[in-house]
Amino acid sequence: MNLQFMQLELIWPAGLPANQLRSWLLDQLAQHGEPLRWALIEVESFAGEPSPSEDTSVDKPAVDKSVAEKRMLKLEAVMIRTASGRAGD
Amino acid sequence: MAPLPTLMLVPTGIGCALGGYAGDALPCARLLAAASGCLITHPNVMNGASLYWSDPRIHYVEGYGLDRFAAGDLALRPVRQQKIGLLLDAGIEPELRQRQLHVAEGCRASLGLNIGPVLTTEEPLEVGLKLGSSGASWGGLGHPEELLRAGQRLKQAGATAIAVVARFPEEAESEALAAYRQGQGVDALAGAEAVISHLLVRELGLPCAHAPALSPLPCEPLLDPRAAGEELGYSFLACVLVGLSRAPDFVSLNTDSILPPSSELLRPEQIGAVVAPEDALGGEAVLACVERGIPLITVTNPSLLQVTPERLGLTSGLLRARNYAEVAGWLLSLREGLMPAALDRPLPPLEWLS
Repeated sequence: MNLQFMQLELIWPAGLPANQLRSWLLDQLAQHGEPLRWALIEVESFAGEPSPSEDTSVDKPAVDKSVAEKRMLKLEAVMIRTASGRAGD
Repeated sequence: MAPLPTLMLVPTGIGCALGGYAGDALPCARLLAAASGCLITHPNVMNGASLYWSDPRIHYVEGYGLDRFAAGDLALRPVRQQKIGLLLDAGIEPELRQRQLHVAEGCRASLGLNIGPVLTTEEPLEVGLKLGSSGASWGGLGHPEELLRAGQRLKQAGATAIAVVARFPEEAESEALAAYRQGQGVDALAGAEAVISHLLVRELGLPCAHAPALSPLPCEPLLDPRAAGEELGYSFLACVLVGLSRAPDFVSLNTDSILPPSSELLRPEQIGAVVAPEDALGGEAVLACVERGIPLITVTNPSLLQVTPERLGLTSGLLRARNYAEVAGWLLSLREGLMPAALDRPLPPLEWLS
């Protein structure tokens, strides 16, 4: 067994609500081993999503939601890896 | 008024203004325990090295166990007393090791805690420290199997909780330590400490917590009060032993075995609220509570991170507080069965179904 620190960047799938985010993140992390300790350390908007403080009143152009919901998730994690490279032990 | 079991989270190693230092969120925990009648929180909140507080309304639960509790995987069983095995890293020098043993003996003699047996690992654990790109502290172990082997031996010898003391790298001259001591930085040790205790809890299923072994630092006249708890003695162990002495047992819910009676358990379905810093909502426990529809109270408590409700798309169904005194008010309203919106103006309109 060894412990490995890892940083991961993922695109938040469009339409995935926050209340399903944990399960999805665990699935993503499981591809790299067994997560021992992890946290989402940044959620970065891109491709034109208005920031939370930006005015989105009706006299502004409507935002394409499929574009607006693109968000980059950054995680930091310590993973457990076994000698065989498989998750867990 | 029945208690409202409440999770209080102050993530470790991200420089929270309240709780990022030496147990300096403890006054907030005491307040929230009074408001809720039942507070579940983690060592980072409660551990002030030589300073500690014991309150029967506060349940001391290490972060890995707390994550599993929030996710619904296990229940907590409050106990009168734990038998605390003491696990010492072979990398600790003899004099520093003796200091840890003095703390254990003092806690037995003066506080009546049940401590023992004591075991030293066969090889040094070789703790390493790391900062992530976020600036949050992390870390690892050169010999994780040594830790687990020693923990298993203590469990087999009858320990029902484990306090582990590992030798941490010295960084007496570092800028990061100087900033921390002046209340401006991140606790560089905290991330590695959490990794050690997470690994033990995962392996043993027992309450575990960690104290670093470090040489005393030169006296610092400009020491920030929030860091002062760590400079009062030779060891960080006393708070860990006190916290573990009444830490609840973990009872797995993912089992076919017969569970203890419900009256003995604090079950995840009973969680009435979770409290977390408003810009640090990306930890597993908070996300698990969001998943399970548990009311989330966010509080202003600046840190390195910016994982806010807005960025997570949590724009409704949460309560915001500017400080922990306001959190206490929200908890009281939930505990009393009051609709929180009734405490503010304008009152939102009645909702109609079309």
